[in-house]
Amino acid sequence: MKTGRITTAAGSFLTLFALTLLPWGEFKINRVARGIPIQAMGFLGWAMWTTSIVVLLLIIAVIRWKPRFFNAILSWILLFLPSLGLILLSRYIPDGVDFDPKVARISLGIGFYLFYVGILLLLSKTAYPKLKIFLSFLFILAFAGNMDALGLVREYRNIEETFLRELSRHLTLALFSAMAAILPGILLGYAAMRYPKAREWIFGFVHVFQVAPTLSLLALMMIPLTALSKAFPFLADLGIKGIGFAPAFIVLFLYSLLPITANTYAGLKQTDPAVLENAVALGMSPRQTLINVWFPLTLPSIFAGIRTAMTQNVGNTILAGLVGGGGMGALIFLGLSQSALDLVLLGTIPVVVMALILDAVFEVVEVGTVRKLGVDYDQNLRVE
Amino acid sequence: MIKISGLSKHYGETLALDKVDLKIMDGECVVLIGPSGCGKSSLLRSINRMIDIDEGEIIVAGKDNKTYPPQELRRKIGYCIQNVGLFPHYTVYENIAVVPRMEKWDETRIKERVEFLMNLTGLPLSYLTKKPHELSGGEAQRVGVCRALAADPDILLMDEPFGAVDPMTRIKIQLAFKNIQKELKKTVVFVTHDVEEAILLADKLVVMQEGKILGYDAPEAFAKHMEEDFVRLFLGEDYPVKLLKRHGIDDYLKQDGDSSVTLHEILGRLLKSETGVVEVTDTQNKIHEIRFEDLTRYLREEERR
Repeated sequence: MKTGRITTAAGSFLTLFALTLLPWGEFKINRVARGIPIQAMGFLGWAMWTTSIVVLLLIIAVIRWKPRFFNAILSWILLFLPSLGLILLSRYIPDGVDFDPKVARISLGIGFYLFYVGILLLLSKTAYPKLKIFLSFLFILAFAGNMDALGLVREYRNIEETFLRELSRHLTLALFSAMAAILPGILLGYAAMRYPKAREWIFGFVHVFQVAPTLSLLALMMIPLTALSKAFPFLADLGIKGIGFAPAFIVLFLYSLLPITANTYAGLKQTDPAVLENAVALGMSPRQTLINVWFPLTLPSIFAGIRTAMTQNVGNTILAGLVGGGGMGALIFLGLSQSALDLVLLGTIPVVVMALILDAVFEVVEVGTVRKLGVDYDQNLRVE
Repeated sequence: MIKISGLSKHYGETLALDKVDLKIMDGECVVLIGPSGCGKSSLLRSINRMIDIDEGEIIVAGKDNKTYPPQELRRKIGYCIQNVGLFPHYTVYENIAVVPRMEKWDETRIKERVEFLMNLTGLPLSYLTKKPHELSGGEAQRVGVCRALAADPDILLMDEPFGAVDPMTRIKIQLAFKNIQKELKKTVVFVTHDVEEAILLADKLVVMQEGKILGYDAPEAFAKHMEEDFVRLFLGEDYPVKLLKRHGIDDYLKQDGDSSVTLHEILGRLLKSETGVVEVTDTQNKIHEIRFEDLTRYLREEERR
């Protein structure tokens, strides 16, 4: 319970701190203008601001003295607060400033972020924390139509089509490159186990890609690919050339090898020797042992490797934007070059959310597999 | 029959088996005993070719075991080891059915066989759908025995199969196995370092040291040679006393009946009796008196048989 109390205290502190002292956003008369900081008091007005602080204090009191009520009912209402805050923030109109309502915008500031983090902390120790966190984000998305003045929404409206195209490209690139690495990764892991002499070579090979900076790897990949497409022009027609999809895909594929290979190898290594001895002694051929015993028992570990590869790939795919591979990286680097921070955020937030969702989905798949096999990780390691 | 002749096995410099000869008759339970590293496990594992031998030959069912394809040989021979090694992702039923399935038995026959074995080893049929991690150590061990017996092999190899269970469970499982063996009459090669287990289960006892067989005979026969160092060392000075555990009161009275009271217990009662006599009633309600001399005489007779 101790960590629960610390989390609650931190959440209470952050929400109060954000509400009293921190700027929630900046009002800009155009995309690149300097912003005017907006305090919570500023966009809520005196009366509402005082009320919200009192309400927040009440909520904290409920958490402290009536935790069951908070857990059952109040925490579900808490979900709405970040989206409610955003709606109110986007309504803000500064006094005495001349601006064109079609171009002016509000960028999010530290106050909003910390408020959101604080709310998530308060929710994290209640029932169904993941669902609640997901819902709170979903509400923000759902009400985005009422937040036209937000810079993020403005940027999105400007490039709606591009955004959706790059988003699906990002996902395709990240998922397919990791999926392509599944079979080779498993085979390499198996080979490392089967042929101890080759092990160092295999792990050396997969580690190189992990250690080399992604960026330099992308650059390295461009040279042979360019040469290839020059030598065989038909390859260029297929999309295999120095820039674009091909180098990004290959680098991400190579990156995905290590977690899958290492996990497969570790899973195979940890299989109970008594189980394997029995498989042989009962008359299973090496192939039957592999298919009937070794592989199913290693499956949870392989899944963990695939999960790592997928989530790490979602982040790494940002760099594909640098070599014309598209994805969210294209938006992020465009935003950076134009110092349009809202555009950068518009590219970054979906990546984070994608990684989290993917991780959660894989966790469900993984737990399901483990349950179906009737093995826990620990039990897989040593079966009495 | 298993006929082993001139069997040698090296592990690097060390000699694990040194020109071993051994003939194991059908339907006998032969227990290999000796200190760790004496070669008993190597001997057992060479029979189903879990290890390759350097010299000599092993005849299994009339043929050199090298002439069988190894998988076929192993499916003919049941195998059961200390760590059980049940497949954790299979149910109890699937675990027992492994070899019959590889032998392409039809499913109804497998089902009958599995149920027969569950009854034989005293496991409830409701356990068939359980996974190994839901079983206690003793239950898992019984499933291990079922799995070894599944395809009805003539030969059973057991390497300290009951070593990892607690003493109370172990004695139960040993008695259950003794009954199973009485009924099925398999040719069993059994490795243990527990003298009492050996005495309880063995038709013949093989005492091994440093890759050599020091003695091979019925357990009672070893009591004739208490002057030999290896007998005192490995079987213990109290070996004749332990031997009494093998014999129920019904053996002594030469009649069928209750064997749950052993001569070992009678000895216990004698030690505490004022008169030096213990009285037992036989199945015809006749009273027999047993004295120390009677036990001594009985043991001597058994040694000579």
